[in-house]
This record gives sequence, C-alpha cells and structure tokens, in this order.
Amino acid sequence: MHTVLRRKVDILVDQPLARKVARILDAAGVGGYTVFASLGGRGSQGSWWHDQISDAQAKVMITAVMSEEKAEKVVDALSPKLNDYGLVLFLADVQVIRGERY
Amino acid sequence: MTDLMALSAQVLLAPAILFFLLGLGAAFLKSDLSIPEPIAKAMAIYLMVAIGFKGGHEVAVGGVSADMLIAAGLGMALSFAFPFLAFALIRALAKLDGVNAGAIAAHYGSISVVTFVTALEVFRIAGTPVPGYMVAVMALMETPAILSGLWLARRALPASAKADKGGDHEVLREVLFNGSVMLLVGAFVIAMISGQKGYDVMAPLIDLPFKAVLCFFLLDMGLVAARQLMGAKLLTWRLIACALILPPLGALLGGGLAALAGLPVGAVAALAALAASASYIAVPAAIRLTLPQANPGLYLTCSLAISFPFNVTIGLPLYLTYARMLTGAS
Repeated sequence: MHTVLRRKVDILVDQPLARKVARILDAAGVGGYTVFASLGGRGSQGSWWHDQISDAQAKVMITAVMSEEKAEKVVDALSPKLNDYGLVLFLADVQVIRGERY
Repeated sequence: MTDLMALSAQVLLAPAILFFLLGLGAAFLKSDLSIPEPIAKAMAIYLMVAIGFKGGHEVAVGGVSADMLIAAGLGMALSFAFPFLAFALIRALAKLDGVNAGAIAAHYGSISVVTFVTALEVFRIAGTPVPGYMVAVMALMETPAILSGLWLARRALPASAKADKGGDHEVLREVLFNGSVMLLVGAFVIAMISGQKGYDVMAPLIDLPFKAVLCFFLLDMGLVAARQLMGAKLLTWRLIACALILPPLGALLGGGLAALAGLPVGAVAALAALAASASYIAVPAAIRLTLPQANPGLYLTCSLAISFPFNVTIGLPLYLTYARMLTGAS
C-alpha cells in the first residue's frame, strides 16, 4: 500500500468563533475540514458543558488534513489568536492514501 | 414592609419559581438531572414566539398608544446608556480590565427574555398585569447595549487586536438580526397583521400551555445557572458584588424614569425588571464573536449564575413593590 505523509490539524474553538477559523482554513487553501460537536470538558478557565442554553461557551473541534505548507500557513494565522480565542491547537503526522487530495 | 414580605412569599411559591429552585437544588446536589439542549432551545423559541405573539395581539386590539412610544424611547435610551454606568462600576469596584468590563456592561444594558417572561407571570399573579406593548419595548432594548458595550471594550483593546474586528458589517448583522430579536419582532408583527383570526389559530398552543412550558424551562435554567456557578473559577467577591448591585441599580433607574414619564404601574414594574435583567443567551453569543478577547467565564457567570437567580427570586417582588410605591398603586 502506498501512503503519503500529511499533517492533521485539530482546532478546539468556541462555537461562535468556528466561522472565523473556517475562514482562515479557506484562506490557506485547505480544501476540506470536518466540525465535531463536543459534550464538555475542563480547561484553564473552568469546566464547560454543552447543555448550556447559550452557545457562547459551546466548543467544537475542527479537524483538517493538509500539506505541510498549508499547515504552516494555518498555524501562522492562528498563533496570534490562541489566547484571545481560547483555542487549543494540535498538529499530528498522518498517512493518507490519496495524497493529491490534501 | 409586610406587603413586600407577603409578595415575596407569593412569588417564591409560584410553580415557575419553585421549579427554578428545584433546578438549582438538583445541580448543587450533583444530580444527573439534565434537560437535553435541543429541547431547552425549542422551549426558548416557543416562549419567544408566544410572548411576541401575545404582545402583538394586545397592541392590535388596543391600538398604538403614546405610552407605548414613551416606553420604547425610554427602554432604548436605557439600554444604550446603562453600560456606561455599569462599566464605571465594574472598573471601580471589581477592578477588571476595560475589555472584560465593557463585555459585562453590554450584558447588563441588554435584557433577559426569561427574566421578563417570569416577571410577566409573577406580576400577573400578584394582580399587576403588564401591558402587551412591553414585549416590543423588550425587543428594542436587546441590542443598543451591545453597541455601547463593544465601543467601551474596544477602546481598551491593544492596537494589534483592533485589526481583528471581523468586519463591522458582521458585528451589525450579529447585533441587529440575532435570532431572538427576529423571533420576538417577527411574532409581534405577525400577530398585528393577522388580527383576531391569527390569534384564534395560535391561542390553543400559546395561551394555556405557556405557563407550564415556562415551568419546564425554568427548571432547566436552574440547572444551567447552578452548573455555571459551580464551574466558575475566576469569580471574585468584588465581581459578585457588582453582579448583585447592577440589577437593583438598573431597576431603580428604569422604574424611576418610567414613573416620571407617567407610565401605568404594570409598565413601570416591567421596565424596572427589564433594566435590572442581564442577557445570558443572545448577548454572550454576539460578544464571543465580536469581542473574542473578553472572557466568557466572567460575563456568563455574572449574568446567568448570579444576577438571573437574584432577579427571579428576590428582585421581582422588590421591583413590583417599588413600582407600586412610585405610582401610588396598590
């Protein structure tokens, strides 16, 4: 099986700000991403649960796979916002089969 | 004083408030009770359509009055101006930075639909019905505070963060066309257009079941408010003091101005309750998007976990008594 190395970027972000992150992905030329709902968790500012009536603190996870070059663009654009947006950003190496897609 | 005690007892024994206390208690006891989020949201939509429609119907029957226009003007002015006062208090007493103080101030200038709906019910039980046009006044009070709060907060932002405004058209869209304003105003206008026939269609769903749905919804609000409070890490006693001072301060101003303008007792009490209430659904979502630098753990905890429970349990009887004193009504 022939596989190619790509970067997986996971971004945990408050739901109201997900649109802004999606725009940054678009600007970096990332062709596809998936948004996952979350149930709750705990972070530096306390715990949060998704059964809140306001979406202000509901968090979603945005996952995208991309080339090293695009991943750098995304990380550069997101880095200044990590604190302001309360983002959590993970990068990982993944193997994909159809490299031309990412 | 005995009147106030009797009124407070009456309010605390209303089923809606008892359900709210049940929710608070269940969460504090770490019960696994929870209302699924889509159902809570559906109930919120139902409550907004129902009060929007009922308010619109009353205005359609009674006609547009001078009182309505005066209340609308007062409400909008209060919503716009109150964040400045709140900002000064939060800066001085809670010693918060300008960005967070501006964000919290926006919440206190704006209104809480659930507090208002609970006030309608509580005041009605106590024998002081609120005029239908106050629903429209409430919808108008939702957004001006977001603009003044944002303005206050953004003056405190570092220059590097100012570039990331996300476009002012986005702010305006979020502020003017947010879902709750759309629903309230939309249902109000539909009721005015469709007249008695429209009301006959809607009445079986929005009239009698309304009070029971409010009970369910307040049960959920009790759970949500208590869990927000228990999850909060950044609360200080100074901030808690602000969240307890701002509601009566708003009521003092709102009720006082409404009485000076000669509005009837129901409208005075309602404007006091509106000025006292702080948003925790519409404004937090708008502020999170337009002012990401502000900490939602601060503004949501203040409005949802402290001011809201204070208003529905202790505040409402106070505001009604105050309105009755001002207008000389009993």
